[in-house]
Amino acid sequence: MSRDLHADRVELSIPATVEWLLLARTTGAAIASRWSFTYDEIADLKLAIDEFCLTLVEGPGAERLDLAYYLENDSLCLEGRTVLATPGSQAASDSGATGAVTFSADLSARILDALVDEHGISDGPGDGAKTAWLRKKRNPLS
Amino acid sequence: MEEEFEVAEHDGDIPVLAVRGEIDVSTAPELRDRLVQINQRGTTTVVVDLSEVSFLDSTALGVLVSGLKRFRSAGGDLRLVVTGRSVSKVLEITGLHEVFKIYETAEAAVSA
Repeated sequence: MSRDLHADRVELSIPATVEWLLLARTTGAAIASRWSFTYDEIADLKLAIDEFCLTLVEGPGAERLDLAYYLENDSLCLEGRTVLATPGSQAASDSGATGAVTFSADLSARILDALVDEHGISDGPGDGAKTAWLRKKRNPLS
Repeated sequence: MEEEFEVAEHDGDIPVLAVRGEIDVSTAPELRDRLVQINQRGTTTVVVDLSEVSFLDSTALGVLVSGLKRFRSAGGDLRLVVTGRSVSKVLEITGLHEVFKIYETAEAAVSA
């Protein structure tokens, strides 16, 4: 009997630095491929996950980014939250994890609006932490 | 395996920056620095060839837009070469396909 991969939930915890966002989006692409999303849908998801993570790590104070990928109602869902640096540990950057280039929240939001069915971000838990989610529905024909 | 990011400059009356790989928040600063260097040499127009770019995010767009402003304010332009669907889609989503002059080949961009 084969295992139902669609019931799986995948969790990833990465440092909240720009070098690790590649891992977040390639993980999402690999999971979407396993869940039979189309090539175009996977390309959209890679970009959406990148923007999603940028939105979370933008700004100072985050030390880690916790992500959870799962399939629900034929949609790939992603939940993310920043884990703040504890006293004595090293935050990603004093000026924000996106550091050397300017982050455009407007461009990022436009991309997310176009590529996924639903997305959002809220403050907390805790001062300065952020929680976000996105959902992209799979093409019913795939 | 991800394609390695690379920026190569081809000299000419109008220099061409040929970019390969993924332009994201960790690689975009290198593209920005190359554009600034070219501008500081007194060059007013540059072509950025994105035909070998497989991924481009909002931070890369921000670098291209700031480069466009820099070159246009010097009386020139920043022209793009775009052939891939992933790059053209991002430009269309954000409306930037109407802001940049976009060409199918570097030769066409240089001779425009």
